[in-house]
Amino acid sequence: MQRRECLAMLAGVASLPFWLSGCSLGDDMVIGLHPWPGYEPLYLARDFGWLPEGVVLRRGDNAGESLAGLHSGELCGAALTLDEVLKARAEGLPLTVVLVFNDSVGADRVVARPEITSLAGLAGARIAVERSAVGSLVLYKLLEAAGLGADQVEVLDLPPDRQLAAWRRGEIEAAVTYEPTASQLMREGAHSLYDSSRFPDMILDVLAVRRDRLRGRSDTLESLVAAHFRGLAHLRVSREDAMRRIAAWRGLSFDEVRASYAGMELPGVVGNRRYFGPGGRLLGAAGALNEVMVASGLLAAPDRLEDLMEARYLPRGPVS
Amino acid sequence: MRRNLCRGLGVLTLWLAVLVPQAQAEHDLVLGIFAYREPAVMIERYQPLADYLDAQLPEVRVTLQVLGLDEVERAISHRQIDLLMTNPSHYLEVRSRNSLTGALATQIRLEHGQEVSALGGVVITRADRDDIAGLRDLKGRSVAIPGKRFLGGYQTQAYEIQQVGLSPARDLALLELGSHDAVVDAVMEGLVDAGFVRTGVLESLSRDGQLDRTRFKVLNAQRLAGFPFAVSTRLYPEWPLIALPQVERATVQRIAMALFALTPEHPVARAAGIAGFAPPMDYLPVENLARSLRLPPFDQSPPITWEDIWDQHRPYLLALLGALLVVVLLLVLLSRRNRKLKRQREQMRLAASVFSHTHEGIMITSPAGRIIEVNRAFSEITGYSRQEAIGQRTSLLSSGRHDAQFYASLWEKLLDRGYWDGEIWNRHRGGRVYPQRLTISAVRDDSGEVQRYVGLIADITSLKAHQQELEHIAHYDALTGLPNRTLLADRIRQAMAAARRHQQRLALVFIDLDGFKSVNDAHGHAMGDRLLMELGRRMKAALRESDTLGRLGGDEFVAVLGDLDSEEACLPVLERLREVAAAPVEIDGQGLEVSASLGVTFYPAGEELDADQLLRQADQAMYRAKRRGKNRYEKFEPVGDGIPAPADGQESSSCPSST
Repeated sequence: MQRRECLAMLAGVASLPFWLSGCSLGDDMVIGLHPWPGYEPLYLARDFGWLPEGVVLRRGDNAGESLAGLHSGELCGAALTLDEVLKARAEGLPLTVVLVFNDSVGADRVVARPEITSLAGLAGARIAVERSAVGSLVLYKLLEAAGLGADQVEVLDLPPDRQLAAWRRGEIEAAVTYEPTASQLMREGAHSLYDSSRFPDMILDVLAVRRDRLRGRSDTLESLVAAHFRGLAHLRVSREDAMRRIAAWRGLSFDEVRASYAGMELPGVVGNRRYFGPGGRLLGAAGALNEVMVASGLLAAPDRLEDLMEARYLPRGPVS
Repeated sequence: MRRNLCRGLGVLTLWLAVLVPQAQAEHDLVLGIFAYREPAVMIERYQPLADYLDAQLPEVRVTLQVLGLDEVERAISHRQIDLLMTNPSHYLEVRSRNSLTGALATQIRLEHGQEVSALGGVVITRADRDDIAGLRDLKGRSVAIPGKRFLGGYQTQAYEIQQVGLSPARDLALLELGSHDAVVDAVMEGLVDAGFVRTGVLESLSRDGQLDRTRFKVLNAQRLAGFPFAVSTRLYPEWPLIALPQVERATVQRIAMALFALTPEHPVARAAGIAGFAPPMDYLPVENLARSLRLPPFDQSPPITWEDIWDQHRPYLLALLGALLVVVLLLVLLSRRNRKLKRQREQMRLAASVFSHTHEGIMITSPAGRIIEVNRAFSEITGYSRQEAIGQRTSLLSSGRHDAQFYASLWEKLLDRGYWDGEIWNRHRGGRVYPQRLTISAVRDDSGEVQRYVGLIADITSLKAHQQELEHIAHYDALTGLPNRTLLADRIRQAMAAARRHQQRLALVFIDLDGFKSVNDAHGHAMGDRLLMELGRRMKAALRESDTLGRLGGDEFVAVLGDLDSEEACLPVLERLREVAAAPVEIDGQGLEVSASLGVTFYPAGEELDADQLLRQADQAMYRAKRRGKNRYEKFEPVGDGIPAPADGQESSSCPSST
């Protein structure tokens, strides 16, 4: 055995107990990701070996798992929606946004029975809403646009998978929903009244990291962010190659993957820079979310937005 | 100028005359296809496309030409083809040479009902090659390729090989076989370890029954959803269809429309195995690949300028520069320090040479008085070697002549003023006590604390002797060794004082030789001097120990006779003096004879006198003796001698002449 290998092995053995404890100093930087088209560039980067040394992508099934990992200290960072970041910050996690993966435009929508032809027509209607941040946000924006107060509609806590049955039983007149339930309801005669494209820059998917786990890792984080942009460039330029790879590991068809990116804006380096900064869209979105989430009871108090974002990990030069 | 223009036009016309008939004069369009497989396969596949375009463009005749890469190049430069389908990397090469050339469309292939607008490379080896499992195992293996300019047949694989850390040129033994079919054959026959082919070739061969799918394996197989071909590399856009610059714009538009109108169901599409054409794709990935592999047109690396190096490695260069500056600075400091050290060393050497070569003894002691270092002169002066002296107290040298008081005052002065100098008597190792001139200095540190004492020792024995000699010369007559006038005056004064003190009498005798001048004249001064010496010796011997005989000069002597109880007590001495002076002297065999006239006076007499007066009295008495016949003595007579001399022949009463 070569000396180097031997040393590496010894080092590996020595670090084993710490590694098990998760994301502490000197260990790998573990980032939680759940399946979502906006996060695929990072998986592409991993596939091509572009991730920096010392970064591990931990795949979870949903955002809840990522949040649990952040709380337990197993994860240094995770891909989350901005409202989830605010919620986690309210729970005491020192999260900072370092990257915007995507802005999902128009994926969430409000469908209603045909006789409700305008937003104002929703007055007195029974509306099915999932009591999630996004659901609340859409409802809040809907009522705001309709000029209705919260007491002028009847809100039923129904997640999309139970909305179709309720619709068929005639228990609801409208629903805040998303695909594939939206299409199913529309097949039942519902029509689209409102969607999230009316309030862009609100539902942002971001990479949030624990500030207390960044010491000595800023280079690694910088390289990780750069790797995302490299993956994103591959997705853009070598579209077919990238999408076929994504389709292969998600068990989807090439066309389905292509369709999944239709309503999604994936900002590059320049686009990302616009999100950061004092007058950036990220701060605006967080401010709006603050309002909605406090109003809907998802947050006890508005986030003070201190240390919410850090642009210095974005690449300075071109990314290849 | 005008002539040149005319000539230029003429040349251009000639060109057109040569070229135009081949392509455009008859409105022929030649569709050139790069033959990545056997020409027969290519013709079978693309003839329908040429026919389709021919049908779609009624006024133009479209013909097909299948060409190798080099033939394609030649055909382009001779304007022998108007449309070209070739692999993307070759397209980049063509485009780099002719900026007017653009891709019209990208081909979409159809395979197993899948539309594919991307291609890649496949790395194959025989299924029984257990020793080759991945790309890294290709190191040092022989690999068959159709040619280095094939995108799917070499370049895509080369890029992946590069990504795993191998160099395609150095680490693989490449074998260029000209076509994909030949590569597959070579691999199957075991002529090579592995082979590179384009995506689709294997599937096509096995569909035609020319290849058994189980007999080979694909290395580095990629998981790509819905991609109908085995592939070992990432994907790149499919072949473009290129319109060369000489084709008219209207024709280009019609060709494009015809191409985009093709549907997968169209017989032409079916025959060509394509699903149609799409708007030209982004060929940037191919460009990146070509850059990375330094393929044409990126094989010429631009000359690296200092600016490039500066831009690329600025932090390192700055760090290097900084480090260099630090090194230079340190070197300068070092050399300055060295110079200083050298100077100091020279000074020290100088000091050391003074230390070791001076004739003054040097002794360095601790504040407590222990000897730390001595020089050679110290050893010579004191008799103690360095080994003997070091560690000893300075009292080693002490003679015992000085009392404690002396040393106490020495120390007091030394501590008070920082130095002491003076004469001190010390004892030589051999026991001799000798005088030293000693200078002791205290050496203090910055805080004023005494670090050590430095003593400078000079042996002044010889100096002392010299001093004594000088003293002797000052007080004694050089010829006879008798006290001279100065000392004599001193002795007279001492004797006078003693006589007064002891109530005794003192006689002063003035002696003048008679006939000495004639001896000098007759025998010379040397003889005279020797006579004076002899007579001096004799007269001194005639005196008592306590008496003094001195020489005033010339032939005049003076004797001081003390301790006389009475004036008469001196008479025997006077007689003896007269006798020894008159006794004959033999020098060098010559008998010489002189006599002496003596005058004596006594002290104290009646009046108080000083030494000069006393001497004058004796002198006067001597003159009387001379007058009275010489060779006799006379006593001073205050009346006769003090006042104008009485008549000749006056005798002394108390000191009668012996004659």
